[in-house]
Amino acid sequence: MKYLFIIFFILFGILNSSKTLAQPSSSNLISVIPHNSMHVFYTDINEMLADKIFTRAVEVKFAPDVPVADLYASIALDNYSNTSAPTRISLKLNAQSASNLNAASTNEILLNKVPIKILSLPKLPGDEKYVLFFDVIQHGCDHFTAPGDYNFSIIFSQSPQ
Amino acid sequence: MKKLLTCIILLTVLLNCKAQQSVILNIQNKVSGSVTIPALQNLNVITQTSSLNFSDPGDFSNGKEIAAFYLLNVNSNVPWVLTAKTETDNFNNLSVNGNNIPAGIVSIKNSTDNNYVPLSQTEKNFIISSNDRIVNDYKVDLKINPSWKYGGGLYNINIIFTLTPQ
Repeated sequence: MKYLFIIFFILFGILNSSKTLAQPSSSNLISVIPHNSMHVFYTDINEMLADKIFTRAVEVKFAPDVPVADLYASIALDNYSNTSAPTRISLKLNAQSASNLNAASTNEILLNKVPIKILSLPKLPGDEKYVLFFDVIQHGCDHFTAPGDYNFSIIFSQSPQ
Repeated sequence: MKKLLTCIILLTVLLNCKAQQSVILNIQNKVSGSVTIPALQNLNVITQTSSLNFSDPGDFSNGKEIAAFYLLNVNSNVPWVLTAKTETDNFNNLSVNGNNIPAGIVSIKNSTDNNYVPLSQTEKNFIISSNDRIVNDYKVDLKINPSWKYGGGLYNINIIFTLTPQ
């Protein structure tokens, strides 16, 4: 009985170890660095009507360890219980280290609570990483907005293609 | 010895589970920001002309009506009310032989409405927000009906529009 117990644990340990090996390695972690404070304090109604652009607000470093990885982004909104909250926030690729991304990559992408694919990134040679700079655009609002403080997070994630 | 082996294996399994968890969390990352919005409003009033000339007998019999005399540009991010009043109860008499003319001979209406609102020094609700758009433009028709009661002269009066949150 004791042997059976030991064998069970050995098998469980081995299975768990193999699962861990299948997880993403440290090389394909996403590093996200904020470069521009994304805090808006509106003082004039005309500011609300226009887009607010945070140039190169976010730097993303990422090295896919699969032939092609998709980079996703989504938005999480806190204190946004009121449906009239300003929720229109876009990402736009401003600059990047690699030359193999096509022009379409620089389109503005409106973020949603559901992750949306923003780039497909082929694996780079050696230890090379993608270094991507994104503009964050807080879109102007043309309808009533409940006064208050609204917090948001832009979440980057990846998935093998 | 067997117990020790069991413990080591058990520990290995637990550590494996923990390591796996932290890796999963690290494949996504985020940045944060915030938006602070106070109640914001702005009102622009554009006037067609600053002076009106009453020279036709019909202006006194029927009053003088000027369509779209004021153009109001209302900007607000919250529901609003626009009030109107005159600065004084009577026109300011700028002539030597002028009379006291009450403000009530002046009335205004939103060009989409039918009825004129006579003005006085008491503030009256004039337009209330009817949609949730931040920007709204209105044309305001002006009517002045002096009748034949007052002598000729030069008179003026200020009309004050005030925009406030509801």
